[in-house]
Amino acid sequence: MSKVIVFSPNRFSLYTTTVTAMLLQRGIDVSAIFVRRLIDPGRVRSEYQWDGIRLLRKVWQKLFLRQAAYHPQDFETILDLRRKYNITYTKVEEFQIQHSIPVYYCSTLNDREVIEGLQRFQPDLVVFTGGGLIRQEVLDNSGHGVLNCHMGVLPNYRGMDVVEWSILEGNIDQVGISVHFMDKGVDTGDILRVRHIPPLSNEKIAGLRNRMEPIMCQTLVDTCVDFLVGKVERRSQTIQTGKQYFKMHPLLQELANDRLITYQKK
Amino acid sequence: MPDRRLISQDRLAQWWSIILKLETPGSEMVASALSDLRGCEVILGLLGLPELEFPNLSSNDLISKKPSFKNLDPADILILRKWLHYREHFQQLGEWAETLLRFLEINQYSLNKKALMQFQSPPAARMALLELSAFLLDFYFERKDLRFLNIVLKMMDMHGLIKIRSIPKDLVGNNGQVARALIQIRLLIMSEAAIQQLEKEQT
Repeated sequence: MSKVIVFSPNRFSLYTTTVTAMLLQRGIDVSAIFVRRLIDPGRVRSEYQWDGIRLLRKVWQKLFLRQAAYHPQDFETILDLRRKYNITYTKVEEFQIQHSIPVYYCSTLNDREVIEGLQRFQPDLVVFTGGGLIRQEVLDNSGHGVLNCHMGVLPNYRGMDVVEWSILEGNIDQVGISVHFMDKGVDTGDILRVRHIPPLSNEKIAGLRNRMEPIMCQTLVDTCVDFLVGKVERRSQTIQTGKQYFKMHPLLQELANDRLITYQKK
Repeated sequence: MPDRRLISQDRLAQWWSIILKLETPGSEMVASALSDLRGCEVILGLLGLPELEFPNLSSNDLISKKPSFKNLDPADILILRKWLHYREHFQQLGEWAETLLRFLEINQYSLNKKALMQFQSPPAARMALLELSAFLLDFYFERKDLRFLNIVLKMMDMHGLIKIRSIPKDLVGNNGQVARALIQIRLLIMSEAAIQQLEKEQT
């Protein structure tokens, strides 16, 4: 049986618990979960460097509100997906209690303990559910590699806020997700699967992102299983085809939302 | 459509009328701040600016330099703007712009500190960041790559980069003061024009 290790951004991650539970339901042997410690000065500093003031909102939503951040919607949210698959885990430790899957805490996913853990477990694959950039030494000890689901269509839209970027640039057909292997660049590794997710009528960007979440969980798990049985092949990226995007300024975010409304009216 | 003005139309018109009345610019810094406004006056409905020569600068050193923020001198930023203005060194220009964009994005929250280390004094660091913003905004207008407008908007939000109150009312002062004032006005005018243009494209 193929062995998989899960990387997690924090012990309460809905995305991690959902993906891990779905992997177990699909008969995948999850050997261990490596999770980043929440209370870590280095982490706060580096995440503030990336997110700025948006970090506060992220912490509030992901760590305090958690499931309460989601309201009932007309579409399937990650909570609906969890209900559908009868997933009740709320923190990673529950996998240790119920399935004896060891959980290891680390400051970053590039720590020496993580590399040693990977060398000990010898996984076929690592599934990334968040937690920052991954260094080459970690990638080298991850079997076939580290699998990530990116909220954007690769190779065109790499980096951050790419849902907003593709809409602002008028490329609505480039809204979607991509499952790919991580490498030393940002979203530049081999692509396994791309799914285009066109916006619905009257849908705002925040709603679209919420709708994409369960699709990401499902696609990541399906692709992981398919890859392990040889049903999907890696496709290398041409870096020149796309661009790397960064956090979008609030003024441009507003314009992207307006552009989506204009597109929907048409 | 929501009001997304960065500056009021009255203030803009006031500055513009002063710019039009300015004597022939006495320094390269002033000339480069004013030259190449790239049709912004058309977008904003202002009177046309008289044609201004771009300062004559030698670009030999910059051609051989590896693009990086650490290798950047204040004079290089003017040369980059000159290349853009005359559409020279297309590939090197793209490499410099992409490298600087990446550096500025990644170091956004420590940029003041990094600029101070690089350019030695607070006024020089601020002027370099203003010139750099002007270059990236010109680059946006030239290549229509919204990532460059994005970084300029973020830099303009940076504490202390744009100080509207410090702009002398009649744009008087020594060359350095006038150049600093003009480059800020230029940034405000061009970013305003960029946003208005994007809004128009939407409808």
